Amino acid sequence: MQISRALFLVLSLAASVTTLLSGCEGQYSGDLIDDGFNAAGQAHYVQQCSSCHGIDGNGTSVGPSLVGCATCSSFSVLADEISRTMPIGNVEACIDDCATDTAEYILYAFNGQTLADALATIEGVKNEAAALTLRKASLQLAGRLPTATEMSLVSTEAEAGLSQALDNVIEGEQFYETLMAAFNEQLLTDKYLSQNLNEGGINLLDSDDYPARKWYNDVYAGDELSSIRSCVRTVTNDAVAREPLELVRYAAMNDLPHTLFVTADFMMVNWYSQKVYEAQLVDANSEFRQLAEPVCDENGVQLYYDPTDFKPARVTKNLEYELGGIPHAGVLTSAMFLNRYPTTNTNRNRHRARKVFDYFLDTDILAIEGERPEDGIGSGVSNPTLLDPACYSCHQVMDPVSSAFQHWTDRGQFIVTGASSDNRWDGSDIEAPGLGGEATPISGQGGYFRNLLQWLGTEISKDPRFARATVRTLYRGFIGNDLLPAPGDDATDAEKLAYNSQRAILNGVSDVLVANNWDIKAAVKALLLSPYYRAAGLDAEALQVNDHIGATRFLSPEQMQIKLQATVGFGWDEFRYEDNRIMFGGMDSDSITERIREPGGLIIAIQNRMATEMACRATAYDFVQPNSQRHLFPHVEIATLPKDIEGVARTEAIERIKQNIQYLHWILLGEQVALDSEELLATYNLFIAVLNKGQDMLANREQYTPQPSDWLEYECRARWERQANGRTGEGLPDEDRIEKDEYYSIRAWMAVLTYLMSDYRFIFE
Amino acid sequence: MKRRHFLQVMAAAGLTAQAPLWSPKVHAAAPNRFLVVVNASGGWDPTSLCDPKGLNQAYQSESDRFDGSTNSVALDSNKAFGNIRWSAIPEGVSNDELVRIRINDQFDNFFNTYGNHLTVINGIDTGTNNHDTGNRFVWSGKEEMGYPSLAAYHAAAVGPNLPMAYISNGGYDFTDSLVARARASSAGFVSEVADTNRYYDDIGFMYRSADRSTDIYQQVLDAQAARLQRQMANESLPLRRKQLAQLLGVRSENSNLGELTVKLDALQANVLRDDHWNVNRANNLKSQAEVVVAAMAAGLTASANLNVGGFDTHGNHDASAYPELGDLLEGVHFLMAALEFAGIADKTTVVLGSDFGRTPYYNSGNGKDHWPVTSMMVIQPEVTGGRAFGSSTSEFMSQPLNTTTGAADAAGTVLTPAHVNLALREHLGLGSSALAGTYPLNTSPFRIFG
Repeated sequence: MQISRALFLVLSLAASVTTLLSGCEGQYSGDLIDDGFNAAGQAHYVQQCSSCHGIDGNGTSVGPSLVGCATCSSFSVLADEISRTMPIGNVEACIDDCATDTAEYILYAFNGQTLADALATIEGVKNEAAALTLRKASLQLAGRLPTATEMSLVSTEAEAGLSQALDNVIEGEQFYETLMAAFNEQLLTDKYLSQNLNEGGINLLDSDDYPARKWYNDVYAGDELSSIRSCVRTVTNDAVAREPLELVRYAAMNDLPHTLFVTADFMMVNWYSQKVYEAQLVDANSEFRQLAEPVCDENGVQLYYDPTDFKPARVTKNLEYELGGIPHAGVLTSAMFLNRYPTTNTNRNRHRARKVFDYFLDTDILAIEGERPEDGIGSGVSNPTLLDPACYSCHQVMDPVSSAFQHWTDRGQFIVTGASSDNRWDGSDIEAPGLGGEATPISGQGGYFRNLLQWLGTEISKDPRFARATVRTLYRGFIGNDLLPAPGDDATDAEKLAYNSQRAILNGVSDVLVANNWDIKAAVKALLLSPYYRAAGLDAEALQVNDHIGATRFLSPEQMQIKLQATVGFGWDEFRYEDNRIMFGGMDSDSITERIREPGGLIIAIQNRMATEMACRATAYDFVQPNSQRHLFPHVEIATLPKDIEGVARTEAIERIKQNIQYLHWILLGEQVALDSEELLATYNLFIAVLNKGQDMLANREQYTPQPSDWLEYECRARWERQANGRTGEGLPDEDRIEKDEYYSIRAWMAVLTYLMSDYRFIFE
Repeated sequence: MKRRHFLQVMAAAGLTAQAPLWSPKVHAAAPNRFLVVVNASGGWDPTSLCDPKGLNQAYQSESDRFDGSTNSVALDSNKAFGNIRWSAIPEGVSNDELVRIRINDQFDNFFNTYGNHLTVINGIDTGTNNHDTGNRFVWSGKEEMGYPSLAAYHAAAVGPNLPMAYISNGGYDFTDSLVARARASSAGFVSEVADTNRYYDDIGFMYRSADRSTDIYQQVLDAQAARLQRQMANESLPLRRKQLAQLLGVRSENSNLGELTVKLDALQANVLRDDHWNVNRANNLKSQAEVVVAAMAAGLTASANLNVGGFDTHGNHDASAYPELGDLLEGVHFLMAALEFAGIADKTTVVLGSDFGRTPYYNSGNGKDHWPVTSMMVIQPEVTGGRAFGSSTSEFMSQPLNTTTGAADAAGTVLTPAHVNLALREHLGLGSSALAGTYPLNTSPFRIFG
C-alpha cells in the first residue's frame, strides 16, 4: 500500500481522511533535543504533528518535511496555516495558542537559521573570491567580461563591491536572454521557434480567431517578394513563440512584479506579432522602436522595427466564438503554453493542472499517490476520480485547477463552456474550479465564470509556493542543478542536513523575492551570492552530502557561444546548427528537452575540435587588431620573443609573455595565477616548447614531410573579418592581413590557446 | 569511383577508408554484449499488438463501441508463432486496402521473422496511468525517481568510459551520473570531430609530420593531460573533483570516433532503408538505428535508447495506433538487419516497451485512454521458439502469475516492471554487477527467459 507523501494537500475530504490518517498513527522514534525553545509548542508538535511530519520535522511517507516548508517563511503565515488546516481531520484541535506555540516551535526547531546567515553561508563551505564570482556571473549573465570599473569596485570594496557590480551585470540585454532561457528550460515553448518548425507558433493560432495571423503573406504576396516574406515570417513567428517568455523579461526589465507571469491581464507583442493578433497596445500612444539597421532587407523592402521591443497588448476584438477578446491571465492563457501542454476530451486539462502545480506551485502532484489498488486499476466504481478515495486524494487537489482551464480548448482556443456552446464541459464528474480547497466564485456580480484563469492566476500569485517555485526555476537555470529531493524515511542525517540547508537558503531567496516586490533580479542576485553559486571548497567532514555544492556547470552550446564571443571575440560557426548543438549537450525544447550536463567522449571530442579550430582562427586575427582592442594578446606582439637572434634571453619580453599568459588564464579560465606559479610556468613551457620546435623545423625544413612553411594554414590566416556567429565576414585590407608566421610565435600562441580552450575550466564555468 | 561505391568495396574487402595512418592508442575493450531499448512513447496498446483480446464484449457498460470489446477485430488463429499471438488489422485502420495490407505484412513479417528469438512478456502491471511514472518504472524497474535506465545501467556495467557509451534519442534516459549520455544525431559532425586537429587530407591545424614523429598537437595534449592531473590533485570541491575524474576517464580513452564514420558509411551503403520492407516508412527509427549500430560496431557504444512517438491514442485509436505499431516493427526489423550486417546481432539484445497500456475499450472518440497493464518484447540472440511469458486476463487486467511458468496462478505474484528489469539484468549478465547493490530490485525473480 502506498500513501501520499504530500498528504498535507489533502485538506478537505472527509471521506478519505480516515483512510489517510490511518498511516499517521505509527509510533515515532528518536530523541528530541530540548534546548529551551517553546516547550508548549514542542508538546503540541509531538502530540499532534510528529507522527506525520517526523520527530525531526523532516517528514515521513505520509507527511511532508517542515524544513523550509512553503508556509515556514514567517511566523504569522505558519500559525495561520496550522490554525486553519491542521491537524488533518480535526482542524479545531490546534487553534489560537496551540497554533502559535506550535508555529514558534517549528520555526525555531526546524528552520532555526536566520535568513541573513542562511543566504551567505553553509557551514563547512568556503566561498570563492568576489572577483571570481563577478567574472563568472558577467560571462554567464551579461555575455562579457567584467569592466575595469567593476573589477575596481570588487577589489576596493570586496563583497559590497560585488553586490554593486552584480547590479550592472543583471541589467543588460544578455541577462534577459539568459533569464528567458532559464524559464524556457521549464516551459519548453521555444519548441515553436522557426528554427525548430516553420511557422511553429503561428500555426497554433486559430485562423478564424486570427485571420491576420499570416499577415505577411498578404502584405508581401508574389514570387518577387518571397525573400522579404520569408524574413518577416521568421521574425513574426518567433515573436509569437516567445510571447510567454517575453512576459518574464518585461517584468524584469521594468522592475515590475514577477507575479505578472500568472496575473498579467495582457500579453506581449512586438511590431510583427501585434499584427498577428490585431491586438490593442495597453499604452495606445506608445510606438515600437526602430533600429538604425534594417531587420529585414530583401526584395527592395526594409523593415527597421526592433524584434526585441515587446509591449503589453490585449486581444479585445471579437473572436470566432467570443465577443470582446480574451481575458488574459499571463502565461496561463498563452496559446503557446496551452498548446505545449495540450489536453484531450478525457484528459480534461489534468495535464495542464499538473504543470501548473509543478511550475507555479512547486508541488509534484504525482507525489500524491493515494492508496492504489494492487492491480493499479481501481475499484471499478464509475466516476472514480470523484468517488474512489484512492483516486480522489490526488484528483481533489488537481481537478479544481483542471476545471479552471475549461474555457480553453485542446488547441488553446477561447470558447466559454455552456449547454449551447461548442465547448461542452460536463461538471458532474469533476471538481468545480478552485485552488487549495477554495472554490472560484462563479456567479453573480464579481463572479469569475468567464475569467476562471484570471482568478486562478491571482490565487497562485498569493500562494507562498509561487515564490518557491520561481526560485526553483531560477536555481535550475542559473546554478545548473536540480534541487535535492526531500529526504525519505531512510535518509541519513547528512542527507537531511544538506536538504535542510538548501531549503533554508532558498527560502531566504524566496523572501528576498517577495520583499523586493517580486523583483526577479533581486532573487537572481541572491542566488548568485549564495554558496551554491560561489562555493570554492568545502570541509567534507562537516558537510558529507556535498555533490550539489558549487555551480560548476558544463556550459550549454549557447552559453559556450556567448563565452567565445566574450573572450575570443567571435563564436564557433559549427554552433549555428541545431544538430551540432544537440550533440554538444543542447536541447531543442521538442524531442530533446533536457540538457546533458556531464560530457562524455563525443562532447569532449567536440570541445577539442572547437579549441583547435577557434585557436587557429583567432590567433593571427587578434594580432591584426590595435593593441588596445585585442581580446587575447594585449601584452605581446608577434615579435615578442623570449630570446634575441643571438639566443640571449630578453627579460622584458619574457615578462610580457608571462603577463599575457596570466591574462589568458584569467579571461579564459577564471584563474588568477601568479607569474611564478606552477600553472603559469606550465603554460609558458608549452609556449616555449612549441616555439623552439617550430623554429627548429623552419630552420631544417627539408628534414620534414610535409615541409613546414612560414605560411600559416589557410584557415588560420587573418584574411577576413569574423562575425559574431563565427562565419567569415568581409575581407581584410591587404595591408592588415597576417598570413605568414616567420618566427613561429603565432603558432606557439595557437598551441597555448588550444591548450587553454580544451581545459576543464573552459567548458565548466 | 563514387564515394559510396568506394566505401562499399572497401567494406566488402574488409578494409576501412579513412584508416588512421598511425597506431591508435589502446582504447577500452569493445563490449561483448549490446543492448538497444526501443521506446514506443506515449503508451502503446498491447492488445493491438502482442496481447490481443479480440471482440470480447467485456466492457459493454463502459463503451458502446464495438459492443464494449477490447479490440475492433476478431482474434485470428493464424497469427501465431510458438506461444506468441498477435493482433489482426481492423478495417478501421484505413479505407485504403493497401494501407491495411502493408500494416498486416509488417506485423506478420515481424513476428514470423523474429519469433524464434522473441520473448513476449504480457500482463505487466505498471500501477500507474502517468506517462512519466510509467516510463520511469518500465525502463528502470523502479517507480520512484533515482534509478538509472536499463540501458544506462548496462552501459555503466560494461563500458562506462566508452566515448559514446550510452546513446540516447530520448525516452527515459536517466543515468544517475553512472555514465555520460551522448546524442548522436549528425554522423557528419561526428566525422568532423573524429580527428580534432585534422584540417584537410592529413594536414593538421597544428603541424604534424606524415609519420607523426613530429606532432605539435600531441605536445598540447600532453600538457593538457599533465594539467588535468594537477587539477585533480589540487581540487577540494567534491563536485569538481567528480567532474575532473570523469574528464580524466574520458580523455584517457582513444575516442576512435573516425571508426564510426567508416561503419556508418558501410552500413548506409549496404543496408538500405527502403529495402527493409517499405519505401519511406519508419525513417525516424531507421535513422536512429543507423547511427547507433555504427557506433556499436565501431566499439564506441554499449547501449542505446531509440525513441519514437505517436502512441498516445486518446482519439481515433485504430487509424493512429496500428500504422504506428507497424512502423515500429519495421524500424526494429531495420535495426536487426543493421545489427546483422555489422556482425553484432548475436551479441545484442533488443527490448521494446512503452509507458503503460491503453484501456481495454474504446472511448467516445474511438480512442483509448491510459491503462496500467502493458507488455514488453525482447529479441535476443538465443533461440526462444516463440516464447510468451505471463498473461493478462481476458478483460486485460493483470493477475497473479506463477513465477516459474508465467501461467495464471492464484497463489502467484503480479508481474511488474521491477520483475522484468530484474530478469533483464540477469539475462544481460549484469545480475552480479556491483551496480546491483546500489540499485537493488528487491523483488521475487520471475523466470521470464527460461
